[in-house]
Amino acid sequence: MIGCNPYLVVPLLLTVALLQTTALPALEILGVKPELMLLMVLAWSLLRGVEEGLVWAFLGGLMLDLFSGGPVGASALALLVVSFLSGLARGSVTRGSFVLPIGVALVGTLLYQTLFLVVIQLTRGTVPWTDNLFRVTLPSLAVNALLMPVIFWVMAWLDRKTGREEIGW
Amino acid sequence: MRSLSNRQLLLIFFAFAAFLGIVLNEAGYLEPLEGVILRLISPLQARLATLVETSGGLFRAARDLRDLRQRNQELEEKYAQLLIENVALEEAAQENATLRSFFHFAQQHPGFQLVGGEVKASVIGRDPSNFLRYLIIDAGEAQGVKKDMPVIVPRGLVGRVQSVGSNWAKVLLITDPRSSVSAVIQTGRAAGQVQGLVSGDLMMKYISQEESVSEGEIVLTSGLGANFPKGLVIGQVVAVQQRDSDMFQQATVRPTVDFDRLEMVLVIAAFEPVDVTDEIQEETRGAGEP
Repeated sequence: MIGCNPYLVVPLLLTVALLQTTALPALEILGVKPELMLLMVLAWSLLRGVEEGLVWAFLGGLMLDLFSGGPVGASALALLVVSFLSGLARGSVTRGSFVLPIGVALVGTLLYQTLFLVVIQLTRGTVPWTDNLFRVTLPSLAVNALLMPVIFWVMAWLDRKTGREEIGW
Repeated sequence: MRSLSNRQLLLIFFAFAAFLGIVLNEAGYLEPLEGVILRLISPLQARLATLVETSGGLFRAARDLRDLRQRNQELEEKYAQLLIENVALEEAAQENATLRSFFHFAQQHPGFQLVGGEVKASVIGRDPSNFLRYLIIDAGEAQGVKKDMPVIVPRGLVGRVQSVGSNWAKVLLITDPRSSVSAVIQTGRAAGQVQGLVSGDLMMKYISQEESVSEGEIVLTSGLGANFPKGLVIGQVVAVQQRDSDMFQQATVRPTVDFDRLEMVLVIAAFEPVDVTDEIQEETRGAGEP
């Protein structure tokens, strides 16, 4: 169910979350941090389908929430939704083509950020929607679309290397 | 009597020949023979000597090369060691400068009790989200850090503690849109509320239209609301938005703190923020009753 070895997935996602909280803030592009976890979850869902994607989304989201000042579960919830939708498009993935992954990155980013902000609005209040749209979401769309082919290529390599494993919990 | 064996005979023969050689040599009869033999052998000996000398040189060169390599390796290790020491010294110098500024700050503000490894806490992470501005520091309950404590650096106000763990705390930066700080302009004493913007700048809102605010003025915490101590530097006014049709004027404030480069911060532990939530609720209930 988890896809590749769970002893690898948990450290992998934890490493990505740590990178996103330590190294990536220093690598801002267009004023935004690359959303590595989001892109990885989207790519994995596209490659392996809904079930595996949801596990990655849940674990990865919780790990992000661990290091965030936002409410625990906000990232996890938003990631679960976009991962589910991304997983539905699994059958349409063509090896070597990045059109679908880029499209998924665009839609996924928009939906993920909107859901995240809705949770912030409900729990913390005061979300400057217009400013966030122009200063965060639009640059994020560009950055994530640009990075998605690289992430997807890496995840496709991981997909080939790990193969499918049926591990019950 | 047993007959002598061949080996014994051979031994006796050679011993006798040697004895004879000694006697003949002492008598001077062997010199011509010795001369002939040496003349025949000397070229060979010379070549052998050259060969030995050359091979000896090669061996010495190989040994020297080995020594040089070893020396080179030792020097490289020494260089690497010195490089590391140099980096460590530079880091120590940097840390020393920061700590010295912290110390001066502590001396200038004796009313603040500073915690976090005695006086400081290191920044160990930042919020992974693009929408939230938090820091994670390596000081928590174990170091005496509590929720809502102000966090500063000598250059100015950083934020306040939002949540605390045993040895970590999450700090809400003043640049987060959900942050609000009561502020005052240093020269004119105009009061307002400083809020974070998505851009990372600050906006001082609710400044009375009667007040005069100009660019370059310093913005300080006012202490109103009892969330932050009075007199901490927040930033500098870079633009003023004043329209007669508005009830208030507002000013864009550039923070004095470079939030992207924060490595160490101070937590003011002695300051007790006042929670006025209960009073407000009570007042609201009282107002609602007949």
